[in-house]
Amino acid sequence: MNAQGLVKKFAIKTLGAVSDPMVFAHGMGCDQTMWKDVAPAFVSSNKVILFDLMGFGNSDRTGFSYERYQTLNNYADDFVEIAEQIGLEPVTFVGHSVSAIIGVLAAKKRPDLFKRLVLIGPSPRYINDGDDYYGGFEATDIEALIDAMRSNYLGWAADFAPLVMGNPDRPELSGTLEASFCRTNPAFAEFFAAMTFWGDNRADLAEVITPSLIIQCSDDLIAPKNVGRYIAAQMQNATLVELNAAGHCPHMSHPTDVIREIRNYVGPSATLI
Amino acid sequence: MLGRPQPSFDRVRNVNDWHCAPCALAVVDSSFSIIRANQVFHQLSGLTESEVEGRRLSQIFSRASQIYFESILLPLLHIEGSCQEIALTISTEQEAAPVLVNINARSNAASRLYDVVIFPAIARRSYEEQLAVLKRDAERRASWLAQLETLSGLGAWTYEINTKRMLWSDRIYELYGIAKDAEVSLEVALRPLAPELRRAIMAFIDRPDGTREPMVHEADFGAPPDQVRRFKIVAQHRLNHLGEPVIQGFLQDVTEAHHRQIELWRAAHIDQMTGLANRAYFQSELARQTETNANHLTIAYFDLDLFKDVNDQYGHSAGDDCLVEIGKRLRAQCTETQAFVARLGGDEFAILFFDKNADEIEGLVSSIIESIRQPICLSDGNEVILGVSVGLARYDSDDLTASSEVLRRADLAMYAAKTAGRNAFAWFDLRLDFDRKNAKQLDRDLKLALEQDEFFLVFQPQYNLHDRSLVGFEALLRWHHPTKGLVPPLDFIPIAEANGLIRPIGRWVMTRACEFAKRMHGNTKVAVNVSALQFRDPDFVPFVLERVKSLDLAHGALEIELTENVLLELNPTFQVMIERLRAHGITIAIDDFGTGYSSLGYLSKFPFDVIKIDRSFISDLKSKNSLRILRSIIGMGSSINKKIVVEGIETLE
Repeated sequence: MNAQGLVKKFAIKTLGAVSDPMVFAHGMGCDQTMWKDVAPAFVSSNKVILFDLMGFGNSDRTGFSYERYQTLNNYADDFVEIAEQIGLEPVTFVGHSVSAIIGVLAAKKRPDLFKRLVLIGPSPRYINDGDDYYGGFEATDIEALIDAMRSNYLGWAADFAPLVMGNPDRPELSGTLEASFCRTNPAFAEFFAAMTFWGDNRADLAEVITPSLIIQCSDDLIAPKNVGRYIAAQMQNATLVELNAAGHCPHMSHPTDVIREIRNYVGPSATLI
Repeated sequence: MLGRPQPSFDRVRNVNDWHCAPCALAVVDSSFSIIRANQVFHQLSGLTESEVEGRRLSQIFSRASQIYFESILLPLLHIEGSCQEIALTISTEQEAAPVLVNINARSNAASRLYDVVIFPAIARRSYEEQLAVLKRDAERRASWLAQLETLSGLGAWTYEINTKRMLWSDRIYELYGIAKDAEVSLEVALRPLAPELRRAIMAFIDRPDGTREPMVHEADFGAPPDQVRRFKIVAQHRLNHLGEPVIQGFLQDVTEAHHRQIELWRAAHIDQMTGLANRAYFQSELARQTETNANHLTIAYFDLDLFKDVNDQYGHSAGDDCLVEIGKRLRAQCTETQAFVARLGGDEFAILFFDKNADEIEGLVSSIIESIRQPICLSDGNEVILGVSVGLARYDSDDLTASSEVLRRADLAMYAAKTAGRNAFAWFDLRLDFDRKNAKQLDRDLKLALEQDEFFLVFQPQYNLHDRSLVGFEALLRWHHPTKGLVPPLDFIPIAEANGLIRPIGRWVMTRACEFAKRMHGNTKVAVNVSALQFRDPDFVPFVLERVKSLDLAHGALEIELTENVLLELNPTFQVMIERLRAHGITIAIDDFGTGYSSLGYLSKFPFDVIKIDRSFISDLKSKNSLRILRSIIGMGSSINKKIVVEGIETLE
């Protein structure tokens, strides 16, 4: 696929400097807007590339099919395609949550394309595995989540709108909710959540040689502290920092902390030296 | 975002308002930690005021709701600033309560704060769950029905009589090639149907209420022709669930069954080899026509001549080639006339002609005979020429004859045509019928005649025309039938030839004639007629020689008369047999000279002693021509040194 095709397919936006590319990959449930408080901090020093994962945001959904995207590895292939297109320079990859793991898979496939990985709130496996591994969830929790997504008003509003003619009391709801919810189709959201939460990519960690920074929140329900430590121990060349922050989205709730840690890790940019 | 402005809790100054609101209210900071909450919130979360403050909002929810909140809602809130009516579950130690959550960011605050409103939603949730169940159920039923439709080849439709609305199932949309959400009307539904079927359906729709008899039709849908499918159309007047009159029905794809039916029908009615009607179909068509057709019918019954020879010489596939070709020719000959062509079996064909007078029939049949006589190219490159004998029988509307009898009559006439000479037709007349019945009776009686000693020989004297002296006798077979009296040889010899009795009868004649010759002391010869069939019997000559030897007959005492036909076969073994007979002093005469195929070639090839001139030349002696012919035959005979015997001379003239 040519550059323009790729730009359209993944809604790619390129900002800032001409060299030292830095790619930002958003996590589940939203799109590249997630990076609105972090990415601008790097435009003076880096070529900043933003994009939407297939099926999210403004990505071209005609490129999606359930056959093509069966595992996170298929998403990693998209990252590789984007990184190849960027040019001769290896990229610094910044991924949140599930995209952090997709980045790990992409770097494992093509180490030549990646200069560094910055992994925010990653988890290689969400479900506990006996006494050996604590991911924070039981299988029943994930089932309940999928069930919640399915029975959630948001979930069925879009599907049901034509059948029940919307909610007669709140006609504005049926049409706008789906659009406002990061433009994600409910059936797809459920599919992607299942792919994410049932996944197990622990074995891939040790095969990554790319230098990596792991940014871990102190109080994250989705990726508990010990998961960050587990990843740092498994990877060959990883640095772990823990932010004093609650929640799973420090790049949104604590953007300055995240910018600081990334900057510390990647060092001052060439243009600043 | 939603167009409606969201109220901020800043305006809720009154503590009573805050605590008495019919919903849980809370204010959270940018980290989603609770700053303050109302009493309803405490009750709902099962937490005290001190437990609530400083707690992360997500922690009041069930585990699944927490994950949902943290991973999906928080990014949304960061970007959009609000979310409305999110269905979550609050978990307390006692129970799990479904709630709807609204969160709105305060745009005016320097440090971002969010107002949280939570409604208990037990009723709402159960309603939603019911809807979800209904939806799943509806989807399951819809997909089940679609599968059933595909499996059964059915498509269902309903026509509401009062509103004139037409409802189609997906299958029918597919069938009509119309997009599934398109409006359809009765007119659209009827468009592909034939006009008369359209009228029938319209008439059915207009039938008075209370009609419960379903309407059933079949029709073809689709184009081009190889995509045409056969549908059964069933419709019935009914009342729908609201008691309104509707017509419900279905289309069922019955193409395969229809094809099977056609195949079964073909197997039962059509001759596989020629594609013509078979005997059963011809008979039933004939019966139908004799019952319903008020006009004249003519049956032509065809039997190929020499067909057996083709099979024997070229093999059965050559025979099949001929039958196929004949079938084609018969059909081609009948394209411009109303006719029903059939292969009755073997090499027999029949055509049923409608409303033709005898002249027209004879013209048609003559040209059919001519077309059949044209050479036929076999698939192996050989060429054969066949002939045909045609029997014709007529049926008129006032005829009381059964149809099977009509066919039998044509068959009889065909035999008459065959006997009369090939490549000809013959009309049935009642005499044929009588002859045949008679022949059957004779056939039965003949089988008993030898045992019951009903045969006897008469010896007709032969005279020398010069000195009028007796030169010999011709042994003539007579049958004294116990009830019919004397039966002429012409009536029973052909039957004996047909049923094989000719051999024992022939030997009986030979034995008796030889005994007579012995009694005549060898002074006069005795002539015995021998048919071609007898002559083909390899035991015949040894039998004659054994007779001659055992009676010690003198040379010249026995003469064997052969018809021209025997000699015409030009069979070399016949030649050998004749030589053997002559070597034992038996003379050979040619009988009925001048009646058969007049080839004089055999006269030089076959060794014989006597020519017997047929009596037809004699009875007509008054004509100068006959006399001249007679003279020249006699002249020819004496020039090659043969004796001449003229039959039928009873006067001195």
